[in-house]
Amino acid sequence: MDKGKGILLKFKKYWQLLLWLKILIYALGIAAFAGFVCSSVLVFTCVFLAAVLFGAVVIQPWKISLAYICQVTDKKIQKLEYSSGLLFQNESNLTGLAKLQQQKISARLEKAQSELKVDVAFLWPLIISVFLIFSGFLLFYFQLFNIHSLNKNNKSTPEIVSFNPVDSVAAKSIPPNLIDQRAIINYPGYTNLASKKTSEMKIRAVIGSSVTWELEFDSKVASVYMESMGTSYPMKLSGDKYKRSNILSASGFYNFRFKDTSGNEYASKLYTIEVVEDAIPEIEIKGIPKFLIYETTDDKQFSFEALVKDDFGIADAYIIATVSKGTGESVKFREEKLIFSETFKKGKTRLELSKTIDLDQFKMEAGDELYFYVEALDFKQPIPGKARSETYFAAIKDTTTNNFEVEGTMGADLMPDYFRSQRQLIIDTEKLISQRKKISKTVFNTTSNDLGFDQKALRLKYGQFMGDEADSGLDLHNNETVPEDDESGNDPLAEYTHDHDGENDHNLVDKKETTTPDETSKNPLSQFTHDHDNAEEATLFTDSLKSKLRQALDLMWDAELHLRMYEPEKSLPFQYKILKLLQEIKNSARIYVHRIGFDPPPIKNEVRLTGKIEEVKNYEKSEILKGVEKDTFIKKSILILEKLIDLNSEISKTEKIIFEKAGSELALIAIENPGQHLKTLQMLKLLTQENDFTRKELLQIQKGLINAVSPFRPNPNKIERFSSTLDSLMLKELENNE
Amino acid sequence: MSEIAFLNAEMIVPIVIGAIILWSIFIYKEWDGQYHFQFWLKSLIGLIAIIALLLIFLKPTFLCEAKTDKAVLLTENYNESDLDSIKKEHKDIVILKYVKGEEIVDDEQKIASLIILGEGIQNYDLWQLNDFPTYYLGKGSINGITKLKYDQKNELGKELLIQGNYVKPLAVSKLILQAPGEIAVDSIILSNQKEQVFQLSTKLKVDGNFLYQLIEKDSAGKMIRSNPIPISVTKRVPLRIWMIEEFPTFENKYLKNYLAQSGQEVSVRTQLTTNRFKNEYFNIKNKQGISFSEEGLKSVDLLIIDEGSLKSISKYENSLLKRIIKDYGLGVFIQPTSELLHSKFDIANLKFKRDNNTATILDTNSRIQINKLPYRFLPDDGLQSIIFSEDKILAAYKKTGFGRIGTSVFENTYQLILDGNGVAYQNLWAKIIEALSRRENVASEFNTAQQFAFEDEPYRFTLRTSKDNPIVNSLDQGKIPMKQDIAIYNNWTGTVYPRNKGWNSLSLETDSIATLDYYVNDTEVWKSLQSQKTSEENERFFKKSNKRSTMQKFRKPINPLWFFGIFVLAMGYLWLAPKLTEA
Repeated sequence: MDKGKGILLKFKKYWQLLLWLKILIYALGIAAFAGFVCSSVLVFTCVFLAAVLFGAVVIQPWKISLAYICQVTDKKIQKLEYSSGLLFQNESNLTGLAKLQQQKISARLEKAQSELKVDVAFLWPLIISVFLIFSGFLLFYFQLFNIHSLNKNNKSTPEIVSFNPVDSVAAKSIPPNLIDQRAIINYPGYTNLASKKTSEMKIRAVIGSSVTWELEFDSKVASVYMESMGTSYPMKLSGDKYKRSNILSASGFYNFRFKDTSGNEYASKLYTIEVVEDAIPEIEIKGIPKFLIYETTDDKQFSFEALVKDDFGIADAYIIATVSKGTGESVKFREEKLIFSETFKKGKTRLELSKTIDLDQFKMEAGDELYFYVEALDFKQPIPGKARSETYFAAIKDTTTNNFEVEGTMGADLMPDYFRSQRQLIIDTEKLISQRKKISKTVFNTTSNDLGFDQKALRLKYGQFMGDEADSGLDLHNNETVPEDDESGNDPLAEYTHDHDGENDHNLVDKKETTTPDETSKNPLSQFTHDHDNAEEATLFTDSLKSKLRQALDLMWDAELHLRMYEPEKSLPFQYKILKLLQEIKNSARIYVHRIGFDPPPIKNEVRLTGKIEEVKNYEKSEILKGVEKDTFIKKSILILEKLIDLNSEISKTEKIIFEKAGSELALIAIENPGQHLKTLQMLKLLTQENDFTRKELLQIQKGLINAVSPFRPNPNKIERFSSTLDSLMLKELENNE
Repeated sequence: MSEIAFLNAEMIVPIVIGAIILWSIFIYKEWDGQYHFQFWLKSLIGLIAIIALLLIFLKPTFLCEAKTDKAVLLTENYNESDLDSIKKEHKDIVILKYVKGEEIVDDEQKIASLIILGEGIQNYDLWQLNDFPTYYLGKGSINGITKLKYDQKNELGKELLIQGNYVKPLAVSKLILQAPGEIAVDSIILSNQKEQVFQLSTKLKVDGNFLYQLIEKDSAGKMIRSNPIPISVTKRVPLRIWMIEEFPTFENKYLKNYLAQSGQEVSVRTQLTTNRFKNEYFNIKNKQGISFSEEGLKSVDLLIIDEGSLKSISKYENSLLKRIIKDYGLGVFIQPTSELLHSKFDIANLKFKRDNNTATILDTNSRIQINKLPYRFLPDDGLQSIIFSEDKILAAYKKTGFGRIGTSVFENTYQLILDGNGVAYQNLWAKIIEALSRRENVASEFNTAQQFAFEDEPYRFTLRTSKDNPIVNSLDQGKIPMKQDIAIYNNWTGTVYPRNKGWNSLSLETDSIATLDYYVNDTEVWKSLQSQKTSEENERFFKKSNKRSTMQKFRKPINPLWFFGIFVLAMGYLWLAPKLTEA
């Protein structure tokens, strides 16, 4: 009985297995088709799994129940008398008859075991599957459904490096195929970018990145080269792969070239290397105006925000502040490096920082100024990129200095009018003389007197240089007079001081008149000392200068005298003399200043202006300017292409060489204008390698090249002309008849 | 008798001599010592037989009047209605069709006069109707380009200017100038008018022989026609320019920089002090030659000199300079100053008039201002203007001998560069320098009056050469026969019949520099233009030869059977007569 039960259970499992097999056959067919069409193992796997899942859901092999099995068995084997269901009944629950039937059925089932057959049809699944696999393979083999051409437009799928034979003869032999291509880009450490593996051969990376190219072929090749900008670099074989590494420093183009074992050469198309410069940080300061001016009484505090950005992370950011104190020659600078209020983590690409600056912290006083700017560094190596913001100013107003200004708005000219120059005085005096007859005597006299006053003012002014006192009786500056003879003696300050240095310190002794004025004047040491305090002895000027000035001052007295006596014409000669003397004094001072700065070489007075020019030599300079003949080979190529298009002829070897040279010229132009001439460059490269080109392709290359040629600027040209004896005869006739 | 002529007239002498000898032999044979009647008769008949034989050979002709008096010659583009009205007028008029290069009227057709309909016959067939009374009625209407002007030989960097006339353009069609590489460089929209003048231009960037195309497109952008414009672009030849200055100026400095950077051979001599000079050479490899000597000046194409230097040259140098200018074509540009223009300008006899303008507009289109001295040129005999604006001559020269001396009234032209008008500056000086520079003498020069060459049609060219017996070679046809002009010995003409389409070239065997590159077109292109040209030529030709003979006569050969008959009869008598007498 158990045997029969076992048979049925086995049958059930067998059936389920077959159903699964059916699902698998279907799935295999569909997946293989999809895989071939897309030429991708991934697609195959995915479609297979999906198909299995779908098939399982539709067919549901697990749903084959025992009851169904019994039903089928009963149907198939009539001998079982529709009782196979009994086999699964618990013996104890059965009636005797049923038990008997159970045993009978079990025995019969054992015998008719061979008759049990699953009616799972495999013919159609197999036909469909084989058909799918075969048609998929055909599509793949003949590239009827060219998925690659579609993928070319799709940037996400990388382009496979395809090699074309350099020599068309080589196409007859089967070229080695590229199995694997890879470019590994290692970005510089500071960028914190993970290295990138890609099969995309157009490289775009930060300057300083190192790139490793790996190529693997299915059969042995003799040598592999990488060509870039006119030079070729061999690729090293390590393991199965050919490798080459390079550190990117400039944009350019490259292509691969390999030689197979039979000596045929193959070259790939051109790829670009685009090198991206690491940008310096950007700094933006917000929250304050460019100039800040504070009153001394203000609260001299301000704060601002700085936004610092960098493409790969900021290494450092700080404030450089400079305090300037004083003005003019005595200005002093003090530089300080300040840090921002917040601490920040290095390597962030964006920082928002703030800072509050208190001018009092810098011990700034009125008139002092603070200049500051923000500086930021990035991680670039070996020299970090450095950026600085604009400079901002903060100043404290200086109220103590009050420059004298003549302002039009004041309505009155506060410039003292008595301070006139000697030249002005002469002009005024001459004017006065010329006007003598026109004006009344009183006016004349008053004017003359006024001029005398001006002369005096001038004398006093120059007198100051000599150490003269304003002793003239006319007080120019203030009316406050100091009493001539004070009761407290010679010292006018004595009243306000507390004399510690005196002999009578601490008033121990009563004050006494110890010295007489006569005694002080007779200083016994006066003969041996060099007294600076004496105006008469002061050596402010050299002797001759001093005497000249003294002379001028004396003359001024005379000039003033005559002016006061209403005799301006007598005063004039003196005034002229004064002017001359003053001029000399000024000039001597000028020479003096000049001599401090520069010591001219001694001049041989005897050779000056004699016109000897032995030392002057003829000068000659010769230069051949390059870059006049630009794009020579590009132009030659355009002409060759014109011939090729016109005559439909073969490309010769010398023409190929010209195309190659034109290619390197174009590459230079292409680097200057990225993305413009790449297609032409690639086609030009092909032109140096292959022979078969359609007229359309040639036209396209020619168009690209013509567009690359820089326009000619206006330039004079030599005109060619045939002239015969007839022309010269005619010219002669014309001349004779003139 | 004058009406009778012989077709084989050139053989008349040997045949007559032969006949006389033959007759003499005959007389000798008949002579039996007696002058009897039979002898005379036989001699006479023998003579008749010999003359008949002679005439068979000589083929005498006689003038006869043509019976058909008029014919119509149909050429391309004739007006159908013209033909109809002619047919109505002359019922049995003969209609002839013109085929290029073939005989138009053959003698047997007895045609007295010819009416030509259509564009006319090709100029190389015109000779056939030299003495023929013809009426040229003109062509029917055509549409397309009927006039075209451009320089087939041009220089690198120059502008290619194509001017023409378009008759009856389609509505809103376009005319596009296409450069090699199928780059459209210029275009014009043709509005629907009777006739439109067009002008297209482009800068020539590459030297060599190129084929531009003039493409007509309709309003939908579909190409109607494409006509080739062959152009040979020649490389530029740098000039050797010597600048002499008494002291450096910005004007000369900028000019020197521009010229040196443009690839010209420039030498600058600046005086440092008495007899001391600063010499600069740009793009000159052999700098020894340039000096104020005969050889030195001969090697220079243009001398740019300032007033001070001009005044300081010695008397000998002055006369040398004048001689080199006159005999060797040296060009001289004198940098202008106010004093120079004010003073008498004896070296070149240039005359100036003071005006008060210190600035002028250089170009009316771009309104570029340029500083000038307050003078302008006075129009004078022999004054050739180089640059003029608003009716004022601003730069000009006068020829002395083969050379040219000129100046301008410009001041501080370098200001143009500083103002950002660099191209205007370059244009200005390129014009002045090119106009003044020495012309390069070439020993031989090809020329052609024909704008286009067509396959299997004669292409005529002229050659001016100082060489005797020039041999002209064509690449595919070997030597081309040349015809010397009877009056001007230097001029030669020749004709080629190009067989291959595309670029062809003619070269002179003794002078490899002189070549003529020409493009041979398909006969299908430039139809409207050729048609217009042919019709104009025909009009001219037939107007000139105003032959109106009322009766056309032509020569008809006498049928030789007549002579043969006479010969046979004479021979028959001579054979039969002795037999009869014997019997």
